[in-house]
Amino acid sequence: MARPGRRRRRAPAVALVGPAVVVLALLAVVPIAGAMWTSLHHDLGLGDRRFVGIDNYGALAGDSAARGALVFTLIFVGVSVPLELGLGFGMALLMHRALAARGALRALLLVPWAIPTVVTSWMWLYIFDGDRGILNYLIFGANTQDYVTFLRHTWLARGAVIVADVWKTTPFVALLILAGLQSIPREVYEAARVDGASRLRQFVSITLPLVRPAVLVALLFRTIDAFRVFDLVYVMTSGRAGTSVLQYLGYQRLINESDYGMGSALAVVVFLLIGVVSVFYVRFVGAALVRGEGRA
Amino acid sequence: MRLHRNARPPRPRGAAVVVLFVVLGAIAACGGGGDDGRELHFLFWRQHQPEPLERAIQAFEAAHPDVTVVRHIGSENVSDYYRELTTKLRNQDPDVDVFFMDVIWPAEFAARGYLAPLDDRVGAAGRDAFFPAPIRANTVDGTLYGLPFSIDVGLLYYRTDLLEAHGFQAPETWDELLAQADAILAARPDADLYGYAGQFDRYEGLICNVLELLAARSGSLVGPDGRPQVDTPEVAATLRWIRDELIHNPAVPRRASDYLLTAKEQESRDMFLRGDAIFLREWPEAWKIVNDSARSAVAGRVAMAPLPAFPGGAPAGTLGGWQLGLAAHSPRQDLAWTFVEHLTSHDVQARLAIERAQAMARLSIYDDADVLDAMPHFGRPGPWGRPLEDAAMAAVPRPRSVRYNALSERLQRCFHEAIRLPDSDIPALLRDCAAQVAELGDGTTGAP
Repeated sequence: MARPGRRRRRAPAVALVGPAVVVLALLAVVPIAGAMWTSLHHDLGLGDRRFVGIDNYGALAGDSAARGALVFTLIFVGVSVPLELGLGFGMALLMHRALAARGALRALLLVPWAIPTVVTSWMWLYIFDGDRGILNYLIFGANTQDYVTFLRHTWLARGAVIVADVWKTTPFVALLILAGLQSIPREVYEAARVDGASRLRQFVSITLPLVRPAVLVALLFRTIDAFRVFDLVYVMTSGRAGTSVLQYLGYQRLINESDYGMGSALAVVVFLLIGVVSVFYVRFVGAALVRGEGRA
Repeated sequence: MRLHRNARPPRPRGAAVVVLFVVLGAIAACGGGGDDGRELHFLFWRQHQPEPLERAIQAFEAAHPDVTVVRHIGSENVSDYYRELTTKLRNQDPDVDVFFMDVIWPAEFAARGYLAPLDDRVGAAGRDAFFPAPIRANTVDGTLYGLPFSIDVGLLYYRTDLLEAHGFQAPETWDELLAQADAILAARPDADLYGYAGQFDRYEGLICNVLELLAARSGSLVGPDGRPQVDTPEVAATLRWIRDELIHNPAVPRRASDYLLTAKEQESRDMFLRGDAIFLREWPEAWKIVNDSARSAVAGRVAMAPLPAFPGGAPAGTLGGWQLGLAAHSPRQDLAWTFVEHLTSHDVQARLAIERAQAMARLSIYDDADVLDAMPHFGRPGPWGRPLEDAAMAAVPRPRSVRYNALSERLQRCFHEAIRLPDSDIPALLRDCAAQVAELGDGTTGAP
């Protein structure tokens, strides 16, 4: 009795979901599989395409440029994402408090986020410039002989790229967390006050658990994005002084050198890194999210 | 749309479509001038001063009234232009019949089959009419694939007022240059002045700067077997000289600012324009800028000379410049060739030299009275004879390679790491770099 009915309902379901699956397959699965397949080939676009198995990945493992790019990519993710989350959280709390000009504040906050990354990169390049940059002026004034070429020193150049990224994307984190804060019902705090909970107690027991979903979403977005950093490095340092990242190296190999196999291998490495991080987040953090919501 | 569909029966709509096609067909026929061979697509990079080249193109259109040159303007950034151009050539885009290419590209482009051979169009006399170095750069396995348009060569610009105050002539050796810089700097202890400005950022310009210093001590990036060589005593000595004598010398810190490690042409030139550098290594086109009093604080107090040599070496400047290539896939190669002949003719080259202050590739313009009137430095007699022509005659080419960009990237990384910090391990860097270059293998053919 129930079976024909269910089948009749399944047909339109397939018809409705099918196009989306096809589009997704064409837009995502096919190109990704294509890149993976290309990464198993030697191909300089000279009619020399041949299957080489995982040789490209072996070459990458032995390539000091690739290892250097991997190291700074991990440093970049590991430093910039916690900074952005910490600062973003603080900014969100402040904006949540500020009752007077919250709308204006929020709009102002969006400015760094709204500026194209390439423009941000140029701006910070000029700020850190070793010849007449404003940072040098703020530190040394007119003593131009003391000016420091920040972007030639390994850790100063790396720091400069991270600072520029934090400046640009902290507002994004702050807005996500602010939305989370504003979704916490006021009644919960009122009930806590009635029960005599201190401010700190309210923050630890109410604010933190309830805003966690928003924080985790911000974390996921920022981590994935940070692995894909390219523009800042391209404009600010061209990869000099230990600031090359995987995506920049991939661009060099693929676009500048027409090394399709190696460039694809680098893209696949970034894809896999992001994949591992995403699976980790979805498995562990996502599960925690669901549990957190259950409790709420 | 919907209103029409409801208001009208379908038949008139079909008729309208037919009329539309007829009209469109007529327009297309008019637009094509009835002859589809009369449109020529020219891809070039965005010019700093667009007018001179534009006038040269208009002159061609005036001489060929039935031809329209469609201008495709690419990026002014060389790497971006390379990407745009190679994408079009790879896809056999009909939007490119004739194009500018950098002097380091013909080997790769020829191997990829992008370029139409020019041997049937240019004889021996035709080749001899241009500087020999760019002609060699355009010749791959004995076949000519491009015609030189302009020539670039590394030159030494110097402040005549500062040198004359100490009774100095343009330095003929690098040791002399350093000694002059030290003496001038010692006499001006608190001035905001540095000795030398060049381009030592990690980019193609670094290869040019290192190569000319290497060639000035008779070193080469190409070994006797025709393959690129990196791990040689001369390369190590050159990098050590840049690091220890020029940039990181605690005894004379003002010989060169470590800012040069992040400087490309504009950054180094800006120092010189402000009056903060005694010597500047730049290309010929900088002449107009350093002598433009609206932009330069040192206008009129600058002279140029070939770059110095080391003892036992000869003065050397790296070869640069733009070539004209014909797209192998173009169905309009004869027309495109007429255009190339026009742009490389004596009259057009002379006018471009005057209007752009650029060193053009045809030799005869260096004897043209009008050019020498307007650009006396193109042929001015002096201790160096004709500084620009002399330097261009002795220009040093970069290694030739089908995988030049890949080779250059490995060299840039190694060279920059070698000079960036005072305590770099140059032998280890060169060993690592040589291994990476060897791994590029089959695509790298060497011999310039």
